[in-house]
Amino acid sequence: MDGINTEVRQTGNEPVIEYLVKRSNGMYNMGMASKLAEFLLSTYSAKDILEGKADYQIANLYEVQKYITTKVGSHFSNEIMMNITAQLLKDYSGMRILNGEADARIEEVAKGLLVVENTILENREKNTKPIPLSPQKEPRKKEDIKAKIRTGILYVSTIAILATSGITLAKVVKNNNENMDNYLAGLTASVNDENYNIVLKNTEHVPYQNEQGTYETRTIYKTDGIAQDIMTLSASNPNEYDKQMQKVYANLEYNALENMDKVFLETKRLMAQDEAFQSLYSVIVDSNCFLDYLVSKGYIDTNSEDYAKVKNAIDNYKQVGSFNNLSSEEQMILKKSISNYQNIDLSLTSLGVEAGGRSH
Amino acid sequence: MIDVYTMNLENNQKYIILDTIVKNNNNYLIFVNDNNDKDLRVRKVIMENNQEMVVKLDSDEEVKDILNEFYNKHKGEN
Repeated sequence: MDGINTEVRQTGNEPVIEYLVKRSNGMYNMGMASKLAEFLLSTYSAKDILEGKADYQIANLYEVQKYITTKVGSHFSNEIMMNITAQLLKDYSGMRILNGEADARIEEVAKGLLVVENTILENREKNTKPIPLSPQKEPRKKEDIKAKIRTGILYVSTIAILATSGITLAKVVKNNNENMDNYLAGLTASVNDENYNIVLKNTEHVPYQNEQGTYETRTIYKTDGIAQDIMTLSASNPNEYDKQMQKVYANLEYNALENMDKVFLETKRLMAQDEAFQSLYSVIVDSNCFLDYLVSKGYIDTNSEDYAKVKNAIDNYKQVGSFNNLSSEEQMILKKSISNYQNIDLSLTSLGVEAGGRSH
Repeated sequence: MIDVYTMNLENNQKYIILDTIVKNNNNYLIFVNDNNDKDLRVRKVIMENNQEMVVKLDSDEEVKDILNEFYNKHKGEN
């Protein structure tokens, strides 16, 4: 008996999982690698994986996962994406998926996740009236029933991960009082629009080592890219500027004001440099910072009793140039003020990138 | 052909009983909408006045537990 198989038998899939974490250059954490291991071990032996014979498949799976993410957006965690990928690879080759042959199925999966999540909401209601169990017998094709079970486990498998990943789309949808049909229509429309998600397009997942010494992924944004895309999209339709800024703001991290200033100032720089963006002059008013812009657009109420406090906080922010250096009271005042801006349109913006620390 | 059981769960929509899950001495039924494979429903079977009734579950955890049981039971099937 060779040493590798003996080791696997003694310690479960751990050597394979560790190999996958190492092989992915930190892109996969232990949990994700565990799922990948489960998938690969249905085709390869542990020995083959550890000898690198599945490396092509691992790379292929990663490429396919990236492709699927571009189709369904970044609403779902990496774990869910891995699960969807693994399920799809049972029915399609990686090449067929990359060629777009599974696009319709991918879209259905994304919608299905939401439908099932909605079902959980529906089941959550308490004290509902029981109804009599009154089944009627019907003959059906065995294949049809098996297909329904296959579809069911595909969606249920994602719920199992949802339950442990801390991401509850249902919660987001519920909190926003959003109509599911409208949400799905919006999702479909946005995915079909090549400019659908400036945030997504400019988002990168990069590995980093956490305090425990294990690897996780962090979401970062290409600020310059976001600014350029906002300007390009808004040049022919100035109304887009505000909409896209909201989308970016809704997906930024806690110190969003500093991040937004970088985006805001970059768009101003582009406007000054490129004649194509001159039409946006009236939109991008002569402001010093993103907060100025919000005030000029009326998103911060200058008539409110608290405005004096808000204005002081804004002035102070401009002076110190860092949100984190403000007093906690000032931070709270600004966060409260700016939340009005974020609440203007929550239809899609709040459902964006989830990794990297932003909490829903 | 095989025999399956269907019933109207709500809004006069027909649901097929896809599976029965037994957990903690409770019987649960997994329903799927006859016209929408992705519309799954989970119900618990209870006895009331000597009649079998189905009722919605009252916690997220219970729903997820049952769905996980369903997944684990069928995940190897092709």
